[in-house]
Amino acid sequence: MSTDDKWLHELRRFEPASPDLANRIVLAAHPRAQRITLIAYLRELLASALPQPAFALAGVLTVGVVIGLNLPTPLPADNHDVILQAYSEEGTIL
Amino acid sequence: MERDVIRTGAGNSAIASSLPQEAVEDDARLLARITQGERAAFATLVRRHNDRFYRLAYRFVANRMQAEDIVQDAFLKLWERPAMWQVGRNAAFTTWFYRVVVNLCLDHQKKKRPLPLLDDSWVMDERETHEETLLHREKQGLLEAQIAALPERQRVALNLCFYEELSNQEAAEVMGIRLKALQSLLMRAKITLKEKLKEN
Repeated sequence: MSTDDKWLHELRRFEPASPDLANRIVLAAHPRAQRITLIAYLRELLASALPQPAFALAGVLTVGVVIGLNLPTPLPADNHDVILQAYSEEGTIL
Repeated sequence: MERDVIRTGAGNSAIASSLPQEAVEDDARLLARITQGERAAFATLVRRHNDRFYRLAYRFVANRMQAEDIVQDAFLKLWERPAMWQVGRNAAFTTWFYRVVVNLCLDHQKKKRPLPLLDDSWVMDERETHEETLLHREKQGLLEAQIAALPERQRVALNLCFYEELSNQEAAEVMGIRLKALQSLLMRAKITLKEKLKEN
């Protein structure tokens, strides 16, 4: 700003801000409700509830159970046999 | 034609370079913590910068309560939506926040009728005699009225450069215009003010 422009500065009115302005702003800022995804929530829950090795073991077991449940279970060979019974006309087993 | 609102998009780093590097880094760090919902970081940022943004707002609305409300609105917007500020895209927090405050001031002026310029909040200088006081007050009122009557962009340029004492380069950055354009706005604003005040 040159000396020619000094009048622009000196003439203009100014009032300082209230001393408590900053506090007022901070008090007006309410705690924010944070959005959290289900996966993030579960991860946080498990991480806080279980120690690290247990968390890893629980993860492996969970994956194992899920894989196990999804595999087709082979039936015992006996179940494939058909028991044939012949009946006489009187209803007795031959 | 004068544009209505200053762009709040990408900015450079002239203001950042004029501030101590630590302060700029601190602002960025504080903003990262604010994103996590840390009120202490928000309080630090508010206490650090509320005065400078109040001064700017006051230059636009010439009323303490309204200026304080504008600054509060600006900071609360930041608190509620910290993603508004993005590291890297907006190089310095202050550059970007000047734009936010200026835009709020312009919106405020469009919505509300200005208060009378010579209200009770005016403070008398005890060294002046009564006549001097009246004369000074009259001149002040005249200057405020003439500044308020300037085109929007000229008013913004004047407030940033003369009253906030930003360099022309910094003010151009805040306004999102070229340096030459800012210098032209300032020149026109000063000529208009001098002419109007001479007429009166």
